[in-house]
Amino acid sequence: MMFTHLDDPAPPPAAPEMAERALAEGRRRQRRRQAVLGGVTAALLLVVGAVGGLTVLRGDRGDGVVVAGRGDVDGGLDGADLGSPEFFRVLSLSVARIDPAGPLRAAVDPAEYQALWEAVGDNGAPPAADLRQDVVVSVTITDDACPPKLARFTDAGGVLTPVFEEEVRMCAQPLVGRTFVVALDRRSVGPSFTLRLPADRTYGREEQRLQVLVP
Amino acid sequence: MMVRRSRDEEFREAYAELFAHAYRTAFRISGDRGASQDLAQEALTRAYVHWARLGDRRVGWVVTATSRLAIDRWRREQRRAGAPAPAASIAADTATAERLDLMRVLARLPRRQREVAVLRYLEDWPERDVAEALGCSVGSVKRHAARALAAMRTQLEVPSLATEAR
Repeated sequence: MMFTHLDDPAPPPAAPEMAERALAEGRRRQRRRQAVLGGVTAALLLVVGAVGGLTVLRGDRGDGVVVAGRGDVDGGLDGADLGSPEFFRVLSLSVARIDPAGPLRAAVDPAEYQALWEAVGDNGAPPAADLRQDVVVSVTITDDACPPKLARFTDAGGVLTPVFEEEVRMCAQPLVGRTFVVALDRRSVGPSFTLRLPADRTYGREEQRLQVLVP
Repeated sequence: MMVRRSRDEEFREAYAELFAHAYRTAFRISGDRGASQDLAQEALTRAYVHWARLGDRRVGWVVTATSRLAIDRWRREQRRAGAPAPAASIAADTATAERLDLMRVLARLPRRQREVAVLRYLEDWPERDVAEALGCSVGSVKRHAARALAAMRTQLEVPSLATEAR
């Protein structure tokens, strides 16, 4: 073994009472977890009930979106819900290719979209996107064995930052970078926005920003 | 009730072996007996909470959990001290210097690479066992290990690691 020289020459034995202590503490934590989960479930049910009540009271605009609290809750661009499928759709998720343009790209017309796809996409035709309705961006994240999910965007004064969440605990995927090609709702992003990818210290990558002008 | 009893019995039976693994990992990283006992006990407590889903991966889970706890503890101490740990070159002795470097390297690795590095290099497990413990393919372990090894080779002066990579 390579690190045996770092071993304790006289490791302590595991006494039975230590097992009992771990067991008792484990049980206590489990009960607490169950209590917390129960509380969260109850809170969610309350929220769902409240939203349902608002829908009944305030009505629905006819497009399926509850008007009450829309901008207040999300605070997004033009009140858009930055986690909703109306705001963004992941068009493709592929193994990253080396792109001299860096980890961020954007396309606001079909020609730019074709160029973006040739730079970052898989072989074959690009996924369907209506560039009259959408702005397409690509975001490449550094390698991780747990392929994350693009959960939502956050907005800080017109600076959009994608938020990724890991979906699985056991990560069985190879360690590779991944590129998300994402369609953003053109009306929501307005005439210009900045796409931001936070720094990744592990790989020595600085924060990346791309300003996108939307004609 | 039967489930609880059987689970508790399993835990009691497995405790001594798991504790030994956890303590060894903690001590290799921290070099502190008291802290290593605490870390091992904490890892075992957490193992009990997740016992049902650990299945045959208990040892791997406990070892990687212990390493994570050790690194978290080290980070907390760094923050509390408000200054980086002394450079390896001025550390008290060779083992302490090596531990500091090891901690730094492990702390910087992405989670999956760190899990592989701990089992493959710190615990010296064969690739197949690492793959089984982490629920991934041997190929995936090789890739993670290669990345982790590159980082370790850059920052740790451990010739045997470099030799093994070839």
